[in-house]
Order: sequence, then structure tokens, then C-alpha cells
Amino acid sequence: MAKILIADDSESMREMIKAILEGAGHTVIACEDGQEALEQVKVIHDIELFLLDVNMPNLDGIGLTRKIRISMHYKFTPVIVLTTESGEFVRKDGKSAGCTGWILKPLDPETILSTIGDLLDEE
Amino acid sequence: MGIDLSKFKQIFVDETLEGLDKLESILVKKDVLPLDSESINDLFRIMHSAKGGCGTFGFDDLSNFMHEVESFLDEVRNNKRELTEDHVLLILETKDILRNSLLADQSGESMDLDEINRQKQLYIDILSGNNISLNTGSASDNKGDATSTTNQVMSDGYQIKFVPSEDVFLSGNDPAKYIRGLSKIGEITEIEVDYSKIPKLEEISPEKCYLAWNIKIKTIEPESEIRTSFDWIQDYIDTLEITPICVNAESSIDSSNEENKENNQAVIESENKEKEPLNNNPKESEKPNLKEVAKPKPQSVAHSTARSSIRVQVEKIDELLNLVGELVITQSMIKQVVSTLDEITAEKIQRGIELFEHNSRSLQDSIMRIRMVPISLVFDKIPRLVFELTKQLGKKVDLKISGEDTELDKTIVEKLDQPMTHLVRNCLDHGIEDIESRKKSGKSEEGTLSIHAYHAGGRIVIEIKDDGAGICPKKILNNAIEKGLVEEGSNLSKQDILDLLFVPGFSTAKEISNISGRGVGMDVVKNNIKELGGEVMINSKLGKGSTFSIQLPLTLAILDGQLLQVGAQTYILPLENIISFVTVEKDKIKSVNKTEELYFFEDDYIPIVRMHNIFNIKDANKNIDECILVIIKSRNKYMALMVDALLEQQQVVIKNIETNYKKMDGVSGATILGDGTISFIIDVNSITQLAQSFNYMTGS
Repeated sequence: MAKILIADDSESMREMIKAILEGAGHTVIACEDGQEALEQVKVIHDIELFLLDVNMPNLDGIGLTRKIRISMHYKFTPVIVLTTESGEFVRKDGKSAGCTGWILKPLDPETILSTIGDLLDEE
Repeated sequence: MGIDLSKFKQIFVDETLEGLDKLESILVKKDVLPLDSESINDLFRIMHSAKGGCGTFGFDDLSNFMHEVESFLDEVRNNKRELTEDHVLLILETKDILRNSLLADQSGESMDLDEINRQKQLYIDILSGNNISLNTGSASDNKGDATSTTNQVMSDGYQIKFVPSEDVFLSGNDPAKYIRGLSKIGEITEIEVDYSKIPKLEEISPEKCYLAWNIKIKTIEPESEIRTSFDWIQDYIDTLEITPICVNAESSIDSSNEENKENNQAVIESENKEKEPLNNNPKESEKPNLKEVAKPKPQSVAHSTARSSIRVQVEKIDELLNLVGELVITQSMIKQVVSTLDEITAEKIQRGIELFEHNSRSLQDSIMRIRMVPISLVFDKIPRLVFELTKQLGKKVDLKISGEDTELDKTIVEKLDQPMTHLVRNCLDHGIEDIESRKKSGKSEEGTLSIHAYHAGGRIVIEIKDDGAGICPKKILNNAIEKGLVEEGSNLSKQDILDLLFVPGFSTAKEISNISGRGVGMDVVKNNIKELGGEVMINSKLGKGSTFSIQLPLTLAILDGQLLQVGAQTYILPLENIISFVTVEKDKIKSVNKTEELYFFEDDYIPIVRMHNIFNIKDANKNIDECILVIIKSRNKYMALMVDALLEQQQVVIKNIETNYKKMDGVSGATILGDGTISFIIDVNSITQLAQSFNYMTGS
């Protein structure tokens, strides 16, 4: 099972995703915002997947993705951003920032698991 | 897999309500406009999170509503739209609706869908360029019909021709995922695969895509939304034709198409790993990052991501507190038993008991601290109240709040809402004058309302101070006489007169305005505060303003008490009320009218209250020479309680009498002592009143 970092400023989302992933046997590092996630990224080098909310205080998901991609450890690690359908710019910006893909909110457990399942299987 | 979403729904509701309070505090600041970009971002983020959560936790109507709100705020955020005062009011209204809807859901009621839709329409109107009209009701009902025309697209669906290029797979993309993604935008009613380009078997390359699709989708989303969903593979599309059609509402849904209906919202560029990340130079990625390598790897930090707070249901803490209460009782039971043992055994146990006492006290303190919440929970609602009231009354008021971090028991904070609201309304309505009157009396146009909370002597004090007209004692006295609350010719001090405001049935406002005096008067405020074990006091200077101060205990559950003996009964007096204990010196007693006794204490005569008279205890010692006087202070008045003897001081757990029996004068609660007997806790405030109304005879 994989080590996954999630970042979402919304406690309910964060806790829910965490429970879903942990329920599936993954190890989860949960962060409250982009800045906190970045601190983790600097010291932990074996994260296998990122799930990042787009809209976060301090450092948003797209900005965080850019910074994650700078690290030599995470050039190819899947980065998924969580967004709502209204964010057209997210897809363009996200793509250029190095996101692997996105998951549309509202979230449901199956989507999250099948999505990361797809990505992790391919390793 | 069985994930129980309800647990997270609760967290979501809590955090959304918190967010909404923050939103309100942003918006009701004085001179709020123009908002700085940080505040706008905060607003957007709050609504954005609310929308995401609403969708996830099944509040679809709210989610749709929040979508419009979010779109609106998005325009504001991107400087496409200027935020006006009307908008601020609209957002505040939205906050209320969202809040009420969530609370309604919590208590199992249904949401007011009409209201939600009406409000949603307002946003749609704004977004489509119509002028905002806050007059809801019939006007917006008319607009309801116009909704469909304000939408950019008249059609109710599209025919999509999607022909990906042959090498689409090389980009790491699977066209099927994009087609599935469409089901998020609308309902796919028909899908047809075009196999015509598939070559002969021997010519087929497994890395190439030979298929094309014709898709019919039923949706109200604009065409751009569909185009956007193909954005990521736009370089690998040969043809993408989107033509609006009118999908027959009755057209059957292709049931064989289950794969598409599988609500798969994920869109993945799954083979990114094999591609270079787009913004990185390939060479750079091979070059080891020296900084990173040079740094030691503190792996242990990885697991230090423990959360700094958790949410717990209040009942759980209450239960814990209750158990600690029982523990305190058990502890005094043991103590009691030990005191009857022979000295040598007792001494051995003593050390253990001391430790036990120390630990149970720390345990109790810690639990009490869990229950403590900042008073800002109440204070945060005041700016909005002042904001709205000043608009309504045409007054100008500068609100100053301080000490909002002061903590007190959650139960107290929750019940503080109503009295605080009432006092603030009162200050704004009756206290602070209108602009004209203020100018006349040489004051600045803008009145000041300051609210301040602080600790004092183991209690919390909240002061609500205005610089308004003040209270005229004469008017109050006349009014009270008129209403038959006071007899004519009574000789009352200024403080006594001000206290008349708290008497039931008293209202100074000539007409009942809809701001304060909504049928409830200051007596309700007083009762509310009294229920919390606190008291309210008024101080006022005519022409200068009034100050209401509320004093509250830190907690309702446990108090430090002095055990007193009167006859065979044991009473408990809260330590915080006790000033001093004195043994009676006969020459300091002075009788007045033969009905009242006074005692000379620190340069003043204070009334003696015979406890046995008030509680009607026959076997008490009635000889004052042999008794002890406990000097207490309540509402700035001193009083000497006459008791038979002093027992020990101890912590007692307050048990409510009212819920089990009925309200009793002079007593605020009861507790169980170590030997199992029940003892009453004296309510100092009401005992002073009892003593005053009790025309008891002295001595014999």
C-alpha cells in the first residue's frame, strides 16, 4: 500500500479522504494547507501520490504542485488536484504546473479509490 | 466499502458554521468597502469549501445554490465585478440561509427550499447582468420564469462528434475517460461508436486509436463546458464538433451504456510518469538537487503530523465531568472514613489521600479547561447586530470589543447569547442618542459602544458601556410608582432605583420599539444571568452614558465552598462570596426598631442575618454570643450571616435542584457530602433579598 499526502484546508474533507484512504490500507499524511504540505515534502521523500485541494490558504494546490515538481524525488509522482467543475483555469494551470489529473468535487469514496488505484497500479 | 460519511458530515457542518461566522465578521466591519483582496479570497474560499462539502454530503440544493454564490464571488475576486453595499447585505443574507439550512438539517427538519431558490435566483440575476434587487417576494417570482432565457443556451443538449487522433494513446490519455467525464456535465442519452476506421487485423497497431464517437448529451451547461472537458487532450483531437440539439425529453436512455453512467468523475492523465513534467527541463530533473542531498533526512518528522485538535461531542465531556464530580464525592467519603481511624493507620493512608486529592484536582481542572471556550463565540455576533441596528435606527456607532479571548464554560457562553443581544439592543435603542441629539449635547456624531470581558476575583466580568444619554433616576422612580412597583415617598438610593429596571413589568421606553422591548424586559436578562450563577449591575451617569456589567462564574459544575453548621444542618457557602469570619463581640451589635440587628464591621454597620430564621431551623443555637458571623458580599452590599459553627472548606459538585424538584429561594443547588448527607449551597444574592423581605424578630 502506498504513502499518500493529502492537503485540504477543509477539515471534513481532509478527515474523510484520510479515513477512506486509511480504510483501504494506505498511509496518509494529512496537511491543512499548502505550506504545511510543502514542509512535509521537503523532509519526506517517499510519498507515492499527492491529493491536493486547489483552493487553500497560504499556498494553493497549483502552486504547491509547481513546488513539488521542483523536488528531484517527485518528478514523476502522480499529483491529483481536487477541484470543482467551475474551475476551468484549474485544468490549464494544473496541467502546466505538472498535475497528473484532477478529481471533481463533490467527492465520493469510490471515485477517489478507483482513481488512485489506477495510478498506483501502473507503477 | 463501508465508509460512514455521517461522521464527516458533522465535522463539515461545524466547520462551515465556523467559516460563516468568519465571513460575517469580515463583512460587518465598519467601512467594509472596498474589501481588500485577502478578505475577498477568504470569502471565496469559505463559500467554495461550503459548496464542495454540500455536494459531497448530499446537500444538492445547497450545493447548486453555493455554485452561483461562488461564481459571483469568483467575478469579484477576479476584479470583474465591484462589491457594493447591497452585495454585502446579500451575502450576509446568504450566510443566514446557509446557516439555517444546515441547522435545520441537523435537527431533522427540512430546509426552506423556496428561500434557497429565491436567493439563488438573485445571484443568477446578478451574474446575468440584471441589477440586484433585494426586494424578494413577488418581484423575484416574476423573474423566476425568465431564468431559462437568461441562460446563455436555449437548447437542452448537444450532439458531440469526437474523433481523437490515432496517436492519442501515446499522450498517455484514454479517450474513454473523457467520455466518462462527460457524464458529469449532463446525462448521456445516446452513444454511438464509429468503427469504420479500424483496419484489417494484420494492420492493427495496438498503440493506435481507430475509434470515433457520436454522443448525445442532455445538459443545461454551456457548450464551453463540454469543450473544456476535452482540454487536456486538445492536441490529440482530429475533430470535435459540438452542435446544440433539442433532446426529446421522452427519449429513452440507452441502458446498455452502463460504463458511461458509472459516475466516474475522475479525469486522469495517467501516464504522466513517462512524460516529462511540463514545466521542468529534462536535464534539470536528472541533475541531483545538491541542496536536497546535502541535507540529512529527518525521517522521523514524517510521522509527526498529528492533528493539533479534535472535535468531541459535548455530551462526552459532560459525562467525564460528571464522573469527576462523583470522584470528588468519593474522595471526601474516604477522607471522612480515614478521620475516624486511629492515628497511626490514618497517617499511613494520609499521604496517599493527599496525592489522590492533588491528582483528582488536576484531572478536574484539565476537564474544565476542555469545556472552556472563548467568549468571542458570543462577541462575534455583536458586530452584525450593531451593523444592522445602526442602519435601522439611523445612528452612528463605533463598536469596540476587547477581551474576546477570555474563556469560560461552554454552557455559560451558549446561554449568554440572548442576554448579551438584549443589552446591546438596549444600549443602541435607549442608550445612544440619534445624531441630532448628540450634536445638541455637544457630543461627537458617532456614539461609542464598548464591550469588554476580563477576569476578576475568580469570576468573569463583561462590561457593556455606552456614551449615550444615561439613565435618569427620577424618570425611573416616577415610572415605577406609576406602575405600582414602588410606594410613593419611598426613600431609595440611586442604585436601588437603577435596580428597578430589572423588576418584572418595567419598561421605560414610551413606545415599544421593535428593537428592544420585544415583550421581554431587563428582568429576563437578569433571570438569564442569574440562572448562570451570575449577576447584572447597572451604573449610569445622566448625559454621560451607562455601563452594564455582568459577572459570571467560570464554571457551573464545581465550586470551592465553606461548610457551615446551623443546627443539625450543614450548608455550603461559595468561598468567593466570603469576606471574613468574626466571633461576636457583644458591644458591636446594635439593634434598630427591635426588628433588625446591625454589626459594626470595618467602620460600618452591616445587617446581621440569622440563618436559622431564614431556613426555619429549630435546633440551632440562638444565642448570638456563642455564634460565628460570616461576612459576605453580594451586589456591593455586606451582610453578616449568623451560623453555629464553621466546618471545613472543600470542593463540592453542584447538583441542580430545579431539574429534580423545584426552584428554592436562598439556595442555588445541592451537593452530596463525604458522609453521604445532602447539603444545600447558599445562593448569596437571593439570601440578601430574602433577608430584606423577611421581617424577622430578633432573639427570643
